[in-house]
Amino acid sequence: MSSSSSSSLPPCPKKMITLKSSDGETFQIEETAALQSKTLENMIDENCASTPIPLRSINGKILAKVVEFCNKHAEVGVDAESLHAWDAEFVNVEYTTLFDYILAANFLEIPTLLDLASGVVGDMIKGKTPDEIRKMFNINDAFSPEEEEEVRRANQWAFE
Amino acid sequence: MASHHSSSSLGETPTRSSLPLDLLRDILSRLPTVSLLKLRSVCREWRDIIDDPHFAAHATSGVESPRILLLSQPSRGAGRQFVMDDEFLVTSLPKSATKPWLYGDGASCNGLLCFNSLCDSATYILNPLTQEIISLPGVNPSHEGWLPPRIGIGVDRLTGRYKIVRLSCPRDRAVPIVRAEVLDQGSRSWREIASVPPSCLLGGPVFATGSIHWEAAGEDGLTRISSFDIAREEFAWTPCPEVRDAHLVDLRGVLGLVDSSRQEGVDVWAMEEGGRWAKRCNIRLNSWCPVTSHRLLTVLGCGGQKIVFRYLESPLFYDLVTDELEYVHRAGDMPAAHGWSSITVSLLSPAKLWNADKVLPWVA
Repeated sequence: MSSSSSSSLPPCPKKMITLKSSDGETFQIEETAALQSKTLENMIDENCASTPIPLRSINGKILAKVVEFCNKHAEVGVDAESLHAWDAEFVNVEYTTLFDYILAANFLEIPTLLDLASGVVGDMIKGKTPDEIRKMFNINDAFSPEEEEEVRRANQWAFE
Repeated sequence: MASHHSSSSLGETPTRSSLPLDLLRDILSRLPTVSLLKLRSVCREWRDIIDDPHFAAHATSGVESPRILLLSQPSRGAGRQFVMDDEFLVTSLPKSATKPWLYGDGASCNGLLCFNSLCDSATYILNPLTQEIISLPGVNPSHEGWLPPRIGIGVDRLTGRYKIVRLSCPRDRAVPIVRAEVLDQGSRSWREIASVPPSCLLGGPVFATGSIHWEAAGEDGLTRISSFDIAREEFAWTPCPEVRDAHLVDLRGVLGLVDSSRQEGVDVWAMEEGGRWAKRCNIRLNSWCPVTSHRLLTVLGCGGQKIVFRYLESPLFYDLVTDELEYVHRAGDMPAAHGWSSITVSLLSPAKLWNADKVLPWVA
């Protein structure tokens, strides 16, 4: 990435950076909120954040939610309980969207979002049968009936 | 690594909803061991993640807290017994283990349980959750004239590798020699080590924070703790509060001491960072009755967030969080258990860790 040498930013009370999604949408986010992402923090530190940052693996719909998450978690004076309730509402979505949150949080290195979404997916998995999980994760390399029988027989009690 | 969910158009492959391996592994590592056991049957990829020894050990350390393990004799005719809840794991032992093991001292670490055969010098390693048991052939015929050895198991926190340590004393007590030997993960032969424990060890060991700990008899009946550092392969005394006849427990990964020798109540100590001991709580028994004599009280260990005692063949629970005592009079439910200890369940495979080609049948 080429570093831009211009340092002619007007003095501004709130430093903003611009993110650009895979489908070309742009989002403004305060630098303080963006710092929750280690990836963005590194770019800010290396002065690479003065132009819009292209995020080719995150679409506009998901990036909007990620920015919303970072803003909420950067808010000052939110008590733990209401933030917890807000988080619960935030991840009350389809699992495909949760996967997108996880991928985005992993790419942007936002541990709070990664933990939150991974935990919810974990809870979903716990309550599902192997068949439902295969559908959920689009898994095709299932066992042969014989192999599956063997895995089951080994720990029959766990399936009861 | 772009993962495009291209908008679905006719004839295109269905949207692939999946996650890279490392993220999937992270999600699975948050789940309790029992759920993982079921998830092994999803597909090969998931099974391989779950069966990986590093994953198994890592998952255990984060999610699981110890349970009380009750081992019962296989009963003729009746099916295998297996019950697990947050505090207990009750299972019948396979025949292959009952004869060589008359429920003497065993040792456990990360869901693995090991004991020495009383019949020969073989060492048995089992995982009571996955019901896998192996025996490693004895290699030392010179054990005649020696007392049944004491055994301990632990994991080197840096390398992640397991070691079993065996301590032998000659029957002739006039000769105060102790021989200490180590069996490395994957190895078939014991190697003698230079460091030996400085005194006679008592009871079953507890593995915590990189060392295997034993109670040892000190002067005037004071409890001492002899510890074997797995990485350095050295025995040393671990500082210990001034208590008598106290029992070592695994307090969810922290070394604990339960002192039930005083009539006023039971003290629970925990070893904090830096080796300092702090009194966690004092359990008052007198106000609350059925315990008439502390001599009848046996410390079983830690199960869930509770310390479990045995009193008149029934369990007595003390909840460390709510500070409540509960006496469960259910002798019927409690099998005539022979082995009592604490275990933190895992899916570690003894056969894989020790490259055993033969797994013994678990069937009773």
